[in-house]
Amino acid sequence: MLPVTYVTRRLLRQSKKGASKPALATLNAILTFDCDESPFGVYNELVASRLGQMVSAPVATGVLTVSGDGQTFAGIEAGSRELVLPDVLDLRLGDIALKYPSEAAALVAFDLWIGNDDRHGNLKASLHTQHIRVFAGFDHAISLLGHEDCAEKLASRLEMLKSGKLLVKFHPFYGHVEPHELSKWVSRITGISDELVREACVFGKPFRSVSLAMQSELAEALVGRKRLLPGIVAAHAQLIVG
Amino acid sequence: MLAGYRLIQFIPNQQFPAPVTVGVVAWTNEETRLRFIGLDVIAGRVDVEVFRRAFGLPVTVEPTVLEWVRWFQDLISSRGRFVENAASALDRLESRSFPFIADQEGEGEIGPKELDAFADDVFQRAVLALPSIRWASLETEAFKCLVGAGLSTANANLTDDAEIVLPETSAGPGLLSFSWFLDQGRRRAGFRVIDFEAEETYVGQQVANVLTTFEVARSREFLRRDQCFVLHGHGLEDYPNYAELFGDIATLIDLTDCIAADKLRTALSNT
Repeated sequence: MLPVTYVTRRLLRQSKKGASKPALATLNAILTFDCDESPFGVYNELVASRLGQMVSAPVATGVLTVSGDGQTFAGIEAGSRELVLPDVLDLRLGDIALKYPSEAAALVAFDLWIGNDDRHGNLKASLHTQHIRVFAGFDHAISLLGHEDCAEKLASRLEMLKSGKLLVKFHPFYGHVEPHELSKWVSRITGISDELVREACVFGKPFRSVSLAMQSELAEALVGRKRLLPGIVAAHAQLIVG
Repeated sequence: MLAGYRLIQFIPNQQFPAPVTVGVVAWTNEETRLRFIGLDVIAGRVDVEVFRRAFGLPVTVEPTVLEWVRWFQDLISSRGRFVENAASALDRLESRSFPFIADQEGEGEIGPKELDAFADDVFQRAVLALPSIRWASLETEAFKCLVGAGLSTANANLTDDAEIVLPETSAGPGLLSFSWFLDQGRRRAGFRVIDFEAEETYVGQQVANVLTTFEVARSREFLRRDQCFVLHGHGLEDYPNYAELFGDIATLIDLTDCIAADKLRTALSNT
């Protein structure tokens, strides 16, 4: 899988010692904060990043940092060398899927699994330069636990994840993915060990407004959902594959 | 009919935002036009070299700049009226900390079929008239001329932004700066670019600087007259004295002449 590259904002200092000539540098990052519209945004971003790395999904990575009232998620800005790429326009989605068939299918499978229906516009891809390949999804703040503001709605969201409901009604790559590529990525997600999924979701203590119980419930929902993923895709093949 | 436009501006350094206008989107209710540095509107080709030179960006940035130009092209070619579709995408640029923004807008009254002329006019005044952009365009044309004459920085004989240190004499140290310098053993040539469309005082400074460089090079017997070249674009006609002055010490190559590269090749073959 193509590695995602990130934009270096400034190269500050390079050491003359060391075989790898280590250098201090700054990278661009987009900070995600918990707020009323996205009360679990930081947790969702962090867990989605961990899960994405687990399956080698083409999603931008990020790290926890501290800013303002506590921990925030810093999504490192994907791009090419010194400049940030524009977000993908709708009218180029077909071309992007043709240039990156495996990556597009990976993003669909991953979003189906984590219940991310906010992919629209949250994608970077280079299209016009054949020898430069950049493809990265970003922003998972309202995936996983979603943005439910009360206990009942959150319970309902977790139940829907567990039950194998589609959740992602619209996706930029619906109708553009190749079935065999999608099947490959669904199999990869299905094959992840249950224990790894639990490790990604459960931190061993409450994290901001996400209790330990919520973390465990999400983990179990995702463990169940990855098993149901082939069935979800099969049941909605006409929408997803076209 | 009413035509609107938005200026496309580039922010070279996000930490010290000082946007520089690099393109124009112009529209009416029926049509939309894009003008951008390096975009050949008729052929549809994009040459990002001028853009790169104007902002001193490394060669590695060219693919990303190309992606951006194509993105703007895609945006204006999307179906529907500009103000209803593409305008909101341009509005979003600022909120996402992108290197481009497009929130400065204006409008003008135009006649039927005048949108191209309107876009060209705004582009000329807002972009091409900027000294840094004009200089980058001139340098790019000059380099194309050198390549057309058979020279290239790919072979080590032609050096970009060359600084030559001559041995110190009683007259003092001799540091010569050239836009490009060709060193092929006994065959040498120094090239300088002059922007005659700049402000008059700046033109005077450039001319004095270039004259000094070539005078020192000749007096130290480092270059002969036929090895000194001044590459220029429009504007020399406004300074007949300078044309005469340079005639004595260098070969003038007018980059707006369609056979400039051939003339340079011929001149170089005689060195």
